[in-house]
Amino acid sequence: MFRNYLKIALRNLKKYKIDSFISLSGLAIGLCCCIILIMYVRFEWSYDNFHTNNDSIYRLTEQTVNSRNNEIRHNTVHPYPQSIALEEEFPEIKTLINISGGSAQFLKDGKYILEPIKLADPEFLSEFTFPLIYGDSKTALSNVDNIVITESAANKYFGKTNAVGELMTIRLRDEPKDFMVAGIAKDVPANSSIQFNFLLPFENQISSAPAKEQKTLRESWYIGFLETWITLKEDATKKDLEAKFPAFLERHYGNSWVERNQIKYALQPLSQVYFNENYRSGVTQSSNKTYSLILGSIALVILLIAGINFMSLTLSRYTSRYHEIGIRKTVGAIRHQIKFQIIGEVFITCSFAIILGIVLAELLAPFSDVLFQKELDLSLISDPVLWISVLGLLIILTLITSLYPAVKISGKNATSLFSDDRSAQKIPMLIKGLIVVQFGLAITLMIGTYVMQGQINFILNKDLGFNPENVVAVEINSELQNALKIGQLYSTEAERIPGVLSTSVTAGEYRDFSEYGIVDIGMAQMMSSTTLTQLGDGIPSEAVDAQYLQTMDIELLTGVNFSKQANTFPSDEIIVNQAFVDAMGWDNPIGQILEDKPENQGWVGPFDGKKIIGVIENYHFKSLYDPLQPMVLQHIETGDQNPGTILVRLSSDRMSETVSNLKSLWNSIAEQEAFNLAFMDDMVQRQYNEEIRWNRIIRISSMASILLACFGLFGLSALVAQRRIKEIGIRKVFGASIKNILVLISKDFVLLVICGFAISAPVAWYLSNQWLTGFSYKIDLDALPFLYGGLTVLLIALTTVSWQSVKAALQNPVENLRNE
Amino acid sequence: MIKLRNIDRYIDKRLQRNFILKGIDLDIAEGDFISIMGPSGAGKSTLLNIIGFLDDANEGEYYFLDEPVHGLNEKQKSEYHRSYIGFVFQAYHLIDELTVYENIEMPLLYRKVKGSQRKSMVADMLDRFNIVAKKDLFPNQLSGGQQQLVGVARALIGSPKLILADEPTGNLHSDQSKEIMETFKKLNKEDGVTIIQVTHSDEMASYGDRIINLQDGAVTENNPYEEE
Repeated sequence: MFRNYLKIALRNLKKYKIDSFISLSGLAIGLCCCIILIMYVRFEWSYDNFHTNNDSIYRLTEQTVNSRNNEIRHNTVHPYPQSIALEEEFPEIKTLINISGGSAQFLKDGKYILEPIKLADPEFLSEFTFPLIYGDSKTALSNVDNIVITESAANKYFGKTNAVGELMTIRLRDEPKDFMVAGIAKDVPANSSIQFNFLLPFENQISSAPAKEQKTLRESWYIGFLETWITLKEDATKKDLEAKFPAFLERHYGNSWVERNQIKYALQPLSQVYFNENYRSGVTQSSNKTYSLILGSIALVILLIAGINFMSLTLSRYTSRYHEIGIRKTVGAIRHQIKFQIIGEVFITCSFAIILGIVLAELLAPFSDVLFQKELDLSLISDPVLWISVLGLLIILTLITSLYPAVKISGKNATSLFSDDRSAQKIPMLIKGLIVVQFGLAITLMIGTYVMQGQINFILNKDLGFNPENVVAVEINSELQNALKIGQLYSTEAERIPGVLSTSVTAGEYRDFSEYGIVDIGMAQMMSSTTLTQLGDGIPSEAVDAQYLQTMDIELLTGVNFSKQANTFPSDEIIVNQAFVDAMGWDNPIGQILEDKPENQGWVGPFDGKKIIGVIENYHFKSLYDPLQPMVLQHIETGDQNPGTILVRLSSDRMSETVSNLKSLWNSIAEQEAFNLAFMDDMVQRQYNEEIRWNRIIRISSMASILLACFGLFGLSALVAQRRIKEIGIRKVFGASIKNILVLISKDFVLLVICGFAISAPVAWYLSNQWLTGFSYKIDLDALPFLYGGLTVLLIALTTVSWQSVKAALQNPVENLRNE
Repeated sequence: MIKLRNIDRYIDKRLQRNFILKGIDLDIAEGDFISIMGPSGAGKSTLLNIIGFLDDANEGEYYFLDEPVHGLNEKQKSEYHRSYIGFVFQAYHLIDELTVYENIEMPLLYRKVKGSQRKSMVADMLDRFNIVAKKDLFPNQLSGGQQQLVGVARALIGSPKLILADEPTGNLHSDQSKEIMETFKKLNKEDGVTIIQVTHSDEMASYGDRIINLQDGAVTENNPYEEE
């Protein structure tokens, strides 16, 4: 019996080749997309789950409230003496690990290369699960002159994996020092929120500083520069320990300090570190949970569309099989046998499609990082979750798809099955509803794509107040004692290179560690506190030289620019932006002397007594997520900031030649320093990498979903055309034109797409609005994306349907009628 | 074998009740060969469907082998289909996706006949109708007469006691029709199979022992030829 069913199922697949291909491949493609997207979502949710101690590792977090504007601040950075006190006072702490992140210069082939590093206490390697391939986890970090590097770092620096015992020359600050490689760690998994290639003992964070600074770092309770991670003893709980923190704070910081800042300490489990938006940290990566949720929903939408296709095609095909079922009934098939046959057939086709989908996903998985820009370890075959969910999907899809026809058809008696053949010409309501849902989803995604595209274009093309095009940033190590000298020398020499229009030495650090996923446009990153409430939280400032405005193409509104050498008499000169003037409410800003000295407090703001000599146009020194803020430019020679970057504006022709000249100039001036250059416009764009990436993901998924929806439409219209072939023949005999036939077949489908649009438009509007609220500068949501989205989908759908209708309309009516 | 008492079959349409069959009384004994005749729309096919349990009467009583059919559930009806009744249709109603062999074999599958036994039964049937050479062809590769032969073979494979044929020769030309009728006649005489056929043609009807005339849902003449 089963073989008979299998035979029928296979022969039906063969007979209706197009339908079968569509319903099979549609489901397969949908499943493949879904698997890849879900794998990515699972990857995002799998962060840090490889640590065996996952549930007993915590990070100490601090929450304070700004008494002035009641803004809640989140902080993960703590002072050194506090760690010692915590360890001494709380026996429930098993180990306390100080971790900090930063960068250091590594000597390679006679040059110093800047690399991101992590510094951590020796217990780091035994408490976290970062296994060593060579070396002993317990002792690798216990000597202050040791270093642990990863396998790939070892290959990069020594050309071999086992580099234990080798020496590395590293500049943490100005002075180089030799470290011995004491351990080779396995490469850190991609789903670790703590990433490192170079791991140094934490002690170096302090001991590399000058003697005076060391003392402050060791003793001050008010300078935070490390993250405190702890593991608890087995009988201790997070809650009990947290309850003891208020008393601890009061003991060490005093009642008034704690109360004024409303300080709260808490323990954040390692498992919650990745998905948190509040605590930004230099040690851990974090991400937005909503994006992965959106992606998950998109995956489900695609699967839903593919599933609907499969269902509607299967359903409508069954209506053309009434005849066969009728015969089976007359020879004595009972109801549950018919049911079993239908369910079995659907199960077989469904399994085909699912196997195909998995194979497809397995083949495409290696390319998925193009889409996600993250490398995923996709080992589909060995993943039990995948198999369970696929099996579940198979069962669910089979039941949903087959139950309706199984129950409906098997319940009919044979005579009505023979005569109902004719009623099958119409598309059942259920299928119509499904198509509406399908197109609603596809159109929503399409509109979303257009809105995102619009917003991203808007951001990328927005006038930033400065011109990042053709500007390159040459890195200079600000830890060098003679950084200013080197910078100014390089700047002067570089201007002689043909193709260099102007140069400027600035304190901002423009770093492009794209290799590590870090892009840092360090414009005006120095934040100075102020008591001037008009200026908000503080004053962002940047130390620049006289050529900064020219190099960055920033407009000076009134007043004068800095002179080449800083004027410090009678007071330091500063330039402010228009927002600053607006905030202060000045009519005539030039010559104003800033007073940032509250009475009776013995505390003076860093910009107190500075004289304003110029006002510049507002420029977006931060990304467009943030609104414009008041800011200050000060002369690089007066501030206490060392230069971090030399900005160079190039002329647009023969750029590569100029760049290589810049490189050889650098090598002749700072022989030991590696030459690092980044293009400013690239960096500006990379600030929106996340959005660009998401736009791409959504665009591709919306295309996939529309493709899938059209697959279904194609199959259905083929079925309808095939079923109405006699009607079409009769109409043609009586004079219907091809156009008439086209309209006849297409109009029902077009109506469905329009219904889909009506449903999707408000949903898309709501979602787009939600997304846009995250930007300070955004497009106005108008009708255009909706119009485009709807029309695109309608056009594609129409093309799909007319393919079939034209085919039907062109057939010779005599042939169709003769069959009867 | 078959006892119909006061059978009504109607369709309700808003205020009006359309009778397809009205007050049918009919007795058919085992071994009869009966032809049902009448103009289009007289209710011939409906009567045949009711006799074959494919359709239910709205009113009246139906006894099949002294068993009240109106009290049977679906499963029991299927049981009767398997063991007692074979159908032959005007439109042949073969399954397009199955070969001749598989079409004939199908009823046995529902009867859970063992594989080897099935093989020999189908082979017998193919032999009997001289269609061995055609056994691997699909229905659309056969002529109408051949298709109907397959249809008859399928109806006979379960060795039914009753064959219901709804215009079995309606789509065939006269030579083919005769062949089918001769087969029926032989079955009736040699194997004692009860046959009820619906037909338009007097010639085909004359193969039967008894003719029932239907007009507007009622029996107008029971066996007109015998009275002659």
